[in-house]
Amino acid sequence: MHASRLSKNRRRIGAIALAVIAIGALVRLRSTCEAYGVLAVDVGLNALIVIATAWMVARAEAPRAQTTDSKPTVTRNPQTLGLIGVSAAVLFPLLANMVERRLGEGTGSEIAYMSVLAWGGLVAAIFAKLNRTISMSVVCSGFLTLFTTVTSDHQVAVYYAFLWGLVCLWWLIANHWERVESCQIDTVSSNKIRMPLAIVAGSLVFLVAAWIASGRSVMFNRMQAELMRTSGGTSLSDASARSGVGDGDAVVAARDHAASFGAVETDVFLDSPQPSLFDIFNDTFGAPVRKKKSERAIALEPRGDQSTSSRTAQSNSTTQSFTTHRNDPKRRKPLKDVAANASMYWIGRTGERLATQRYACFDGIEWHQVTIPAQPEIFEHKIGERVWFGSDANNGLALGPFVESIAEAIKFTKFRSNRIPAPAGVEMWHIDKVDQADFFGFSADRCLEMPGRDYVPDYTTVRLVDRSIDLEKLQALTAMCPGVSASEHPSASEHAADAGVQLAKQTVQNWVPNATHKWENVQLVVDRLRSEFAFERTAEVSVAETSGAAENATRATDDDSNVSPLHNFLARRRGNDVMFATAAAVMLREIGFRTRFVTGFYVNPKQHDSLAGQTPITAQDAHAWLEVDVGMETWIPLEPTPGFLQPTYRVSLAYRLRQNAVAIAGGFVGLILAGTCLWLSRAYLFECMCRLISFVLPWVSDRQRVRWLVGVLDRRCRLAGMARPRSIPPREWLLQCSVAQQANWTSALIRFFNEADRLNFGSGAALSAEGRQACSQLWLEVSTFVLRRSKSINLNGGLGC
Amino acid sequence: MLELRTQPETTSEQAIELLRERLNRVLLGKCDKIELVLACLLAQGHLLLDDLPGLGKTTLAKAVALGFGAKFARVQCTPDLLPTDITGFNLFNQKTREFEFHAGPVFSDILLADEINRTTPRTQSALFEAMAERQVTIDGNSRSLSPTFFVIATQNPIDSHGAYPLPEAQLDRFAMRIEIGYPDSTAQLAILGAACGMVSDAVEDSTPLTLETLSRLQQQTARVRVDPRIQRYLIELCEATRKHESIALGVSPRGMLLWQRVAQAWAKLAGRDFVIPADIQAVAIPVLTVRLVSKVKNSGAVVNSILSSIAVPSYQ
Repeated sequence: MHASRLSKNRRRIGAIALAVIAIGALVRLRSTCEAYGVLAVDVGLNALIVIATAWMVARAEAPRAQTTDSKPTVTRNPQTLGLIGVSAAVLFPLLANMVERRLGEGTGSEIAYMSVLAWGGLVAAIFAKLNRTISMSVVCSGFLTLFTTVTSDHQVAVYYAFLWGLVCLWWLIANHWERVESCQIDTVSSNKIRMPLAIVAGSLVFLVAAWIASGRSVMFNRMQAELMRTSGGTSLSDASARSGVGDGDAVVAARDHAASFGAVETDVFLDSPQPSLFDIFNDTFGAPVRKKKSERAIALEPRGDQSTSSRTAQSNSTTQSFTTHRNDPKRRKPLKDVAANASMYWIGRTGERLATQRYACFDGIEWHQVTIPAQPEIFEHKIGERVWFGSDANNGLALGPFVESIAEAIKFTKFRSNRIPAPAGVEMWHIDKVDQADFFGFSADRCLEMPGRDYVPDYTTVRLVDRSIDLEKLQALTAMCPGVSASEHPSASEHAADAGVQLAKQTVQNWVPNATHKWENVQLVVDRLRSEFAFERTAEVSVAETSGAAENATRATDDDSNVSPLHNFLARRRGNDVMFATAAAVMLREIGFRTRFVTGFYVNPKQHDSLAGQTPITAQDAHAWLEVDVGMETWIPLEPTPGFLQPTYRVSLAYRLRQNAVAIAGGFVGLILAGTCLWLSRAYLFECMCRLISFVLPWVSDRQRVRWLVGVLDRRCRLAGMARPRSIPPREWLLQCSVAQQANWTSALIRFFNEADRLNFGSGAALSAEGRQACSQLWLEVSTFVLRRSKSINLNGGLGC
Repeated sequence: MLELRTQPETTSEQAIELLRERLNRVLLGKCDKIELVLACLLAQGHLLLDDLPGLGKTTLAKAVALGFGAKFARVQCTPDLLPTDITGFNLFNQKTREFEFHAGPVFSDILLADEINRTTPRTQSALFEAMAERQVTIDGNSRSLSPTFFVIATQNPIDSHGAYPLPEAQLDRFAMRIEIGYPDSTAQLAILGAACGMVSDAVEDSTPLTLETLSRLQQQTARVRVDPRIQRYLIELCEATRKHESIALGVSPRGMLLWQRVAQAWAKLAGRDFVIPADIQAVAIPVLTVRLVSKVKNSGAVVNSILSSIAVPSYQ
């Protein structure tokens, strides 16, 4: 007995060590994507639960100090304690993840499930009563370690796997070597029927499983593809694509990766045309509707305003205006190989918007660029060997909402424009070996560009330092700055008469009755647009579909080109991102914000290649949104289009707590209420469960039945408020209750316990039919409520139960 | 003649029932104490009655003896009682020119040693040797006692002046200590009635059982099954007595063996051929109070506290 306990302890300690290694591997994996503080609190609390449970169970199991107190003490069962603690330890990661996500931290639920597995493995090793459970813990930790190693691209992860393997090898040798040795085959007896049957059955099961799995699992596809690999392409879209060094693939790989310098001499792999920005936007949003000649021939006043004439000229040029009145884009098939067709690659946060053009002036149909005379100055910063360039375009303000620095990079592959798509918060940028500030400049509409070039050279990598937006500062700045009245906007006079603009104004007045200069109002408009309007790229604008005021407008003009796209959008409540951005821009102007319409690219999280750590951006990622000036020339991007991620704001934990205080408090109250309800109805729940189990009772073995019934009766006594002290045999305890009640189940109780005692302590092998009947009777009749009644009788009659 | 009347094929249950009935008729209103006496008898242990005078100790002992048609002897322990008065002695016969052995009261089946704490330790130890070994050695010759030798010793808890309290080592030889106590009023009424001859005492003459039956019962008792889990429970209890803060001297292995045997007897009395935890608990107080050296006065409470501190084996 002593030896077996020793070997069990050795087995347990090994399993605990393996589980701890697995938890370490998981924590390392989580540390790459979670805040250290939150992770430490999460893991620490979980470990605390495990340690506390172990301590309490050890204390409950230890022999207690003797006292002269003759009163039987009701002690907490170590099994119950263990069950509660283990459940808490295993379920804690899910709960923690839920809370963390509520507070804007935390990761995906799969990480939480892995944590459940990891802590489950640990508690299984610590509290296991059976060797089999300990082995299960080792399997858990092994799976977890290997899984985290495979999914992690960090070198340290491999060390965890090595360490785990080493300890596991020791564990296996220490615990199983003797058994392996003793399991040498002495004789081989052939079994002519069972063996072939097992082979046939096994093959059948395997084939069915393979058939079920085929085509449903990525792993299976990859396995299939491994049989016939292709060269070229990337593994993102083609599971069978190879990647490697030493052949053409290396070049492909080098070209693809944003961080590589990509010395490729020829363009043999570039078989697709390189579209210009104009083409990209026309492809995505549809070509502008051609204007009729009569409309084009605008008679200018001889002494017309110079700026108006220049603006008209600009509007005719393709890059300086952007019409909302467009034909349907041609339907194109989605790209098969996104990586190969990428115009550029982005390393950094996904869901980011990279601006290429900004339009400040809207005339009801078209957006026009407005030349901003004062261009921001470009500074040089020498950091180490590298020269970084920066501007104080929107970051110079001390009160500004831009905080933190985030490293990002963009690499151009097929990009026909001299604009450098950049997020709104960009602070500094750098191109390797470029040390002259005059390589860069700002276009008239305040977009970063490389002046004097047709386009940014292919395979140029631009490194960027971006900044986050702090929501609290943003709100403070917005509240501090006064609003701009609608009439002060540059295009006010032009678009005031447009039906769509009128409708937008009415709508926003309904939405925001109290038009103060507050960030909440901005968010309100964006939220309403995102929730009440539907996004579709191929909005078919037709007279039949328009309704209400839109119909009147179309009838009045009877000219398709004069239908206000904005009006259509607001009436139909559906449209493309251009219309969403336009509507939001017009609405926000009405409530006192300066806005501008921005076109560029959206870094689609769905395209993110997690292995390469980059996101390919294709022509299909062309996108339109808007920026709002919250005050002091601080332009903040907004995303009114549903289906596109909103800009992420940095928010402190305290702020989130404040914001979610009601929800958290409500959650707590709900939890307490639910817990109270469950607690109060626990007897009913338990009785229902017993009723259900009673159906399976005839199928369990006699010993099992006796154990279950005694357990159930014990639990019922406890629920009835007269828990049996562990030192009193159940028969004596229940007899007191039944005698007190003068119950008709007393005889059944005696019969049952006679049989149960014979089965357990005597030489009995099975219950008699009478014993089974008594068992069923007690199971159904002696409910918690019956015992409660007996308790009240005891109290009234003064009988000690 | 009496023995012929007894059915040899009497089952053990019937035999026990007969004896129980008889004793209950003799000692009225003390069913629980009689049950313990029976258990002690079946367990082949010796009994210490710790009680006041006139509570029926002798009556009980006599009834037990008569119940089996056993040879009954009684020793009134006094300070001048010598060991040979108990064991017997060799006397030189002038006529035969040989030593003749004159057997003492220990050569009986049931011996009542009244007020055992009144006699000297020397005499006490002679009795205890007989109790433990079931043999006496006189002048170098070992003489075996009756296989069903059963000692019922009494001691008077009050008036301890001039008494020699029994040392722990000697107390350990008793299986249990019982206090009979005063009978309740109903029982007292019956006692008074019996004294007036209203209750027939014809039973006094009859001998329902033989010593062979008793011997068979004792053997059967020794074979009552004790599950290893019950034994572990017993060990835990014994260890608890040794660790308990209010107990100076815990249960010895001999005490543990006796406890198990008495529990077996208790199971046998209940008609079972196996011991359950309740049996161990039922006999705990009489078995333990005789041998535990308690630091506090109320040793029954101490025993209860020990019982309540150890969990009974669960059903598996």
